[in-house]
Amino acid sequence: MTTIKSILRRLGAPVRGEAAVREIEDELLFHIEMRAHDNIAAGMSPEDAVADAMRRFGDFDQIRTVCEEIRKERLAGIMKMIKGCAWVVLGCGLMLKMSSKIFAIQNVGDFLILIALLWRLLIHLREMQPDRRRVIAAIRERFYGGPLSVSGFMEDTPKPVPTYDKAGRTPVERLISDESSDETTK
Amino acid sequence: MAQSKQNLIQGTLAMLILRSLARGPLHGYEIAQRIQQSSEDVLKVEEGSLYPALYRLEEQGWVEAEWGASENNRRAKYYKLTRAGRKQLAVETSNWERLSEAIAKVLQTA
Repeated sequence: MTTIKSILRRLGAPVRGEAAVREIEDELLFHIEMRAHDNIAAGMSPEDAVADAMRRFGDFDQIRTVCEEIRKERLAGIMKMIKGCAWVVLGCGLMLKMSSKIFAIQNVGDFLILIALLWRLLIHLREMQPDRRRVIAAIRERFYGGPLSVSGFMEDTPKPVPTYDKAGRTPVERLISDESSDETTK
Repeated sequence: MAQSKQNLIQGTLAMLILRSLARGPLHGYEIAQRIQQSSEDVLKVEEGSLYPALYRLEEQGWVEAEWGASENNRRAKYYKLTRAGRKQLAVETSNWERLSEAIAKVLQTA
């Protein structure tokens, strides 16, 4: 059962895109949060606890980027397989269409050809789509400062910026403020 | 030389992660804690480096991940060993034992 779920999750990975990226961030933040909670339990102030948790964790943005890259490598393999399957379906469709004289089988062939062409079109459209995350990061650089506003030109590979919430807080700011409010409630 | 040292460390971390998961599913923070506690605070995993290693293990099919609720009712990603992961752990443990035995022999005789 778990294996079936894991296979479905793997196959569904290319369409999850942004959600999967968000999951990486959630997972890393969970780790920092757990460490901060343990630090607070050991007697640290919320600010010190979060600062220590962040220090122990290392460069959040860099680690997130590495995890995203590993995920993209895996997706590249899955996309290759999906593309290959589209060609196989197209081949089967053409074979049925050309080789059979039975009308119903020719119809099945037409159907498979149509499916394969739509499949290829979808893959093509997806590949054409620009990396939305990078575009969003570039826009944020413009608003929050960075290479664009400082040096006046866009870097080829903008440094990933933390995901801001509705109040414009970075994940770390959010964590500090949550810890502080927890402490005040107590 | 630096590269081979890095590979050794990465390989060892993978083995330690697989071993920590042998008893059951754990989330990343628990894995780091388990390694530290089992080694009686001798080994401290650089916490951030744990995640790229976990993602690589997942890519290789040695662990699989599933979201669940943590002990404090937060959403956490739990990793567990796959059948291939168990086999890999056996291979890596055996390799490590042979290597450490060989080093011990050299140290005793040299």
